[in-house]
Amino acid sequence: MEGVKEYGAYEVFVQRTHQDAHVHVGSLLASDVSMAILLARENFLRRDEAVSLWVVPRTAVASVGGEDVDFFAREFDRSYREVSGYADNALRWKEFKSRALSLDEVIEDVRKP
Amino acid sequence: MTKHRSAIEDAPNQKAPDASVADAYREYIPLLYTLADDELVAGHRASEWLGLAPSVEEDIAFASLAQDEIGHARFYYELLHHLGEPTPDHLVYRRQATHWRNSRLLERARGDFAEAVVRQWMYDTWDAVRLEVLIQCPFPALADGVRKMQREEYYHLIHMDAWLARLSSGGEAKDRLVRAVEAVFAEAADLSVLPQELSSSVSGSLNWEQAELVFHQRIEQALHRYGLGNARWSLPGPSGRSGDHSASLTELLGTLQEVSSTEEGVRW
Repeated sequence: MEGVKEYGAYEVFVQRTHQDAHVHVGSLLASDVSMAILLARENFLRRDEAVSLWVVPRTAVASVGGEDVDFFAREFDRSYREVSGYADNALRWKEFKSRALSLDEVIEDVRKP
Repeated sequence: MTKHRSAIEDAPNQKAPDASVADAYREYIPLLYTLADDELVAGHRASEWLGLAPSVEEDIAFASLAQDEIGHARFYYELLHHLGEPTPDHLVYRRQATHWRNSRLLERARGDFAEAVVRQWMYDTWDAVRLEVLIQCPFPALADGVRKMQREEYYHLIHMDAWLARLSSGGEAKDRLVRAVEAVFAEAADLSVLPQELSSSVSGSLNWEQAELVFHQRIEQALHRYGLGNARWSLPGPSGRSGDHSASLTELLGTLQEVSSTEEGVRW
């Protein structure tokens, strides 16, 4: 150990399964990154299962906060960007699938090249 | 060792169903008591740091390690029960100090955090060596449990070593660490002692002398690495392995058994 070290804040991310993204679960103070990993293991993996853990020094996080209000502004109608137009897809699909096929339709389907 | 509110089972002599199958391994019973009691007492003392560790992070971490130790103790007590010994609850909540076989080092009253670190590091180092021996023993249930335990103990040792490395960097931390090493060495003599009741066929198969050598080497190398002076192995004295305990164990059991001893069959 070289000299006295200040404790630093670390952000902890846990991936619960391979299908999940890493999720921010909290932060901790530690003397250095390897200690942060050891503490994160005992603090955040005590109960639930996980497959991966990230520890990031808070100083390494570049952020834009609420003080830059223009960054987060929503001035115009954005509904055309949303996927709400597809909201009844599941219902339509269900109706389509539940429709009984006539014998002719089945024959036609089988004859398709 | 009940998980939730339940009464301790008061049928100490009730045998587990497969006890007859297990009779072949009854020779391991004295050894299992030392393993179980070590883990339980170490876990109990470590749990006392909840709310007192130097940071809230270490607070949770140390308690988490303590819970691992209790889990290992539970495995050993259940194995003992399978071999026809009393139930885990009975062994933990109804046994008097003279029947416990843990090392005296582990029952020592909680000192400062440096002492907790040095004691846990010393014990984890010995436990790692001991498990390396036991994983090869011809008792499959024990070897299987040991394999699982090693996966957790590996991180316990890294955790304690990480603290040792940082506290030994200087200042008050180093001073406390040096004092702690002295205090821990004074009580460490019975750590690697085998129980007298152990049959020579089991003790002969364990290669314990080699294990002791490796243990001493690992401790000495670490002391050297962290500038903590030379090892001061004390001569064998009173041994917890024969039930010769200090008043600290009585005090510990007084806390651990406080509720269960209020009345027969008490529920909590």
